[in-house]
Amino acid sequence: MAKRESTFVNMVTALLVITFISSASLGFIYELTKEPIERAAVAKRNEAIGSVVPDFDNDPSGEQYIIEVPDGELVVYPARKNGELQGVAIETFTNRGFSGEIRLMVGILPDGTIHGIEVLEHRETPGLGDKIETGKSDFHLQFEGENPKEDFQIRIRQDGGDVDAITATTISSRAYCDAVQRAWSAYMDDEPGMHDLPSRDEAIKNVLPGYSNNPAREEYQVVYKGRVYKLYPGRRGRRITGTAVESVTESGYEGPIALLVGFNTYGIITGVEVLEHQETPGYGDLIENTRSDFYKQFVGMNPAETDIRVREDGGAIDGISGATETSRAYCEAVRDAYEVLKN
Amino acid sequence: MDQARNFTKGFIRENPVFALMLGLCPALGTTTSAYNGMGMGLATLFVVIMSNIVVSLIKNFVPNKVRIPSYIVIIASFVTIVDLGMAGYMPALHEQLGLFIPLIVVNCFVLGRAEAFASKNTLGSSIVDGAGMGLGFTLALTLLGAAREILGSYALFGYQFIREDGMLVFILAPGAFIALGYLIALTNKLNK
Repeated sequence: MAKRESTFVNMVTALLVITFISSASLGFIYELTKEPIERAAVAKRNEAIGSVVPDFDNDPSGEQYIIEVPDGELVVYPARKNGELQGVAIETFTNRGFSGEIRLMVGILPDGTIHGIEVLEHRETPGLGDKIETGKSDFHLQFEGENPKEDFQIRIRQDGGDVDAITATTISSRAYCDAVQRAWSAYMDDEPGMHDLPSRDEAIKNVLPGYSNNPAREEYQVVYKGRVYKLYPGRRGRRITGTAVESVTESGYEGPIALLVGFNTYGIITGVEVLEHQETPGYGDLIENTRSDFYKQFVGMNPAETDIRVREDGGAIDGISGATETSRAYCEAVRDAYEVLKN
Repeated sequence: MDQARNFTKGFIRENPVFALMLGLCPALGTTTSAYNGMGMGLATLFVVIMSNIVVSLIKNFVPNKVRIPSYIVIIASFVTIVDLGMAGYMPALHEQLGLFIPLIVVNCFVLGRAEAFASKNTLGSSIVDGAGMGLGFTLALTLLGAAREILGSYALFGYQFIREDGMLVFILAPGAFIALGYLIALTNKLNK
């Protein structure tokens, strides 16, 4: 076949045919490799999770949730064994690396102890900064088993911390500490029970309408269905303005949930506060007043007229999505509180 | 042309890196270790053979004035195939070479083979040429990577023979130029 002339039609057809065949074959290859690429990414992540938390038997990737931090978000993978939280692996990052972003997987035990750290991604200088990688130096060992709550400062010594920086790699070491610190603080702030649930006095103030006495001091107890409930009456002068009932339910997803429910004298709910819970971060912990508007559904409600159950059970309350069990337990505690008050 | 000579010319006589000085960007960038250099070399080997095959097959169909864009599209397609395939089946290597794989597209040595050889020769000679030149490129990158790894980290293919920090400069960019310079001098000596 002789070489084709460079006429307009010939050039256009040649380019058309070539680009068409190229894009078709690329589409085919993309479909073909899509799954292995995803599998490789998941395998890598699972491997990193496995190496930073103790033994687990659940699928941490399936239970992942996100903690928002000021300049991005951290992904948390909870590791459980027989349903009990063994620790979490947190995918964290820093932008302070010598050559850009560094991504780490940090394993933290429920008590705040750092269990293990793996480097997921970095572009630090080969031979220098890349010593932050687990296989290339013992740098990461300094963190393992340390609990920043107990006098371990996640900073390099030059910055007044307890971490020996890698020689000639101060910036990478500092960035590494930054990423670990970010994961640790974010998680500890987010962990149930660790953050600022209101104290009983604050909760009383939030749920009871205008009173002038000290309800906590006038606490009395009521036994209802074999359980002891604490009640706090609020008064203005001699007139009772409302009562706060402390109600504990055992049916929470992760354990007991303690609520303080305020009622006015007509039996209408004036406010609800969570005093204690162990619900799953990211799901169940949305019952906290600072985390969602779930509690607002109850305010102004008269339990005598409204069915305080989640919609799934035929009631009038929208459960928190992904936390039906917890929402159900919450409703139960509110109902109990009302029953106690009525009796 | 004698096929044996055609095949071996890429090793030393017309070695893309040491003699023709083509594709220096990936040659300097990826060769921090012998393994990386070899990985990059093999990826390029695949691309150069495949693009040589296709270019030699379509050489009469493509009009002269649009041959370069056509070749680039063909090369880019194969590079993307390598990129996706490596990400799927060799994730560890892909992570190391990551940035440099797409750069094979603009590696002038690949386009050079398409333009200077495949577009003027038969399918058979083009395959032999691609294989020979690709292997030469792989050899060059592996050698350069090995030299830098030995001097820079006292290791070869990840196996460390002196448990100490090496001469760092060889891992960094300046070391790449120095090592390349000596290897070029050596091949020039062999070529004489």
